Amino acid sequence: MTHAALRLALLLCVVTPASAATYVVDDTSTIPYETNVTTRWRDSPTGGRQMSNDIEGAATVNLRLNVQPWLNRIGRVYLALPQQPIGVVNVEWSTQGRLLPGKLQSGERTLVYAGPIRTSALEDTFVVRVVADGRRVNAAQRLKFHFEIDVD
Amino acid sequence: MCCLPELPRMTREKVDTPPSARPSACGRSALALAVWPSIMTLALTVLPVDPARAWVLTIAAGPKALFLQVGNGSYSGTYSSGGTPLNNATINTVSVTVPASQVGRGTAQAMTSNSTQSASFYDNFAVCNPPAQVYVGGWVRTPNGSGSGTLSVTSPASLTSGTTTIPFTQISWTSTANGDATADIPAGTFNGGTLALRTIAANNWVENCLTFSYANTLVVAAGTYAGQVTYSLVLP
Repeated sequence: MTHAALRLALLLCVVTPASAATYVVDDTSTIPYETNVTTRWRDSPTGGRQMSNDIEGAATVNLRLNVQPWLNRIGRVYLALPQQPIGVVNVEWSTQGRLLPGKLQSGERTLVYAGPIRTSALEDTFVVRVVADGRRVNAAQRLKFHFEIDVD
Repeated sequence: MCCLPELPRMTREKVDTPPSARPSACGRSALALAVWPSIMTLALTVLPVDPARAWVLTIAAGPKALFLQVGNGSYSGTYSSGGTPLNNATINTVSVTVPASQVGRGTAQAMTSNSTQSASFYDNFAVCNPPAQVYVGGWVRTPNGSGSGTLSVTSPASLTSGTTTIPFTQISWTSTANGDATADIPAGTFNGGTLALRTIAANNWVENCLTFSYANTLVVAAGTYAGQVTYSLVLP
């Protein structure tokens, strides 16, 4: 090892003492893994005699997150949705209590679990409601969610 | 003791893969020092989110839909409160009785209706004053919220009473609404055929209250003359 490498290593040790990292969580056991959501035009007044341009849909999914790689560590799990070509997508979900309910906008992530990882899987049932600008949804759009975990 | 960092913290754009067989951070200084080049390789092999690990919701475009109400209609509540249209088969009647002394004198006769629809199902605001006014309103929805529907009215050539007739062109209407004097549905006269009234852009609730009158320019035999007109809202 060169001295430069050693110095770099020591410097990083000071800057990131917690050595935290973010990982994608394997959610491939989620059922159904792909869900088709029928939408409806949202009923909400927007002033005058305008009607809402938003569409909304809901789905229920049984989530199963494989957190075995981080067993016995402290982690924070987030639901994330990348930015979408159809503009802002608002997502809201309720849970059965194992994970946290919450909401997010596309391009963001929201905490769904924080604490020690004591089991190899985190499971819950999400009832997800999605709202998007219907003027930008010309055809079916796939929203690829993913879960991330920050571990200390 | 200070140990080598396990991995630099990743940004939101670059998320690491699970640490499958990676040794824990503390207590591995010797190993880390020995295999530093390998560890550096691992640290740089940062993958974006694997699409295969992405729970997917596929949302459909908004459904095509339309609503048209002439006279009495039905809605589950109001649009503003999340209501949705309901079917209502009512056919309202607009009528006038012309005094014998006035028949054919050219003095227009105001008509009245049996409609009781005062409130708009948009927000329950009393837009019309029945029975003098007849509510006409509607909206269209298209998959991407663009485009429009066409509102029209079709009338037969004549009102009939047995074998005698009165041309439908004898009946006209004006258009207004409480709180909005603009004739969003234009005033007009039946033409004995199909008359385009206006287009209704997607995601707009258009409504007005029509007041009908009989021109009374023809001397006709006594009798009850009747005819039925049909309003249509067409979405391609």
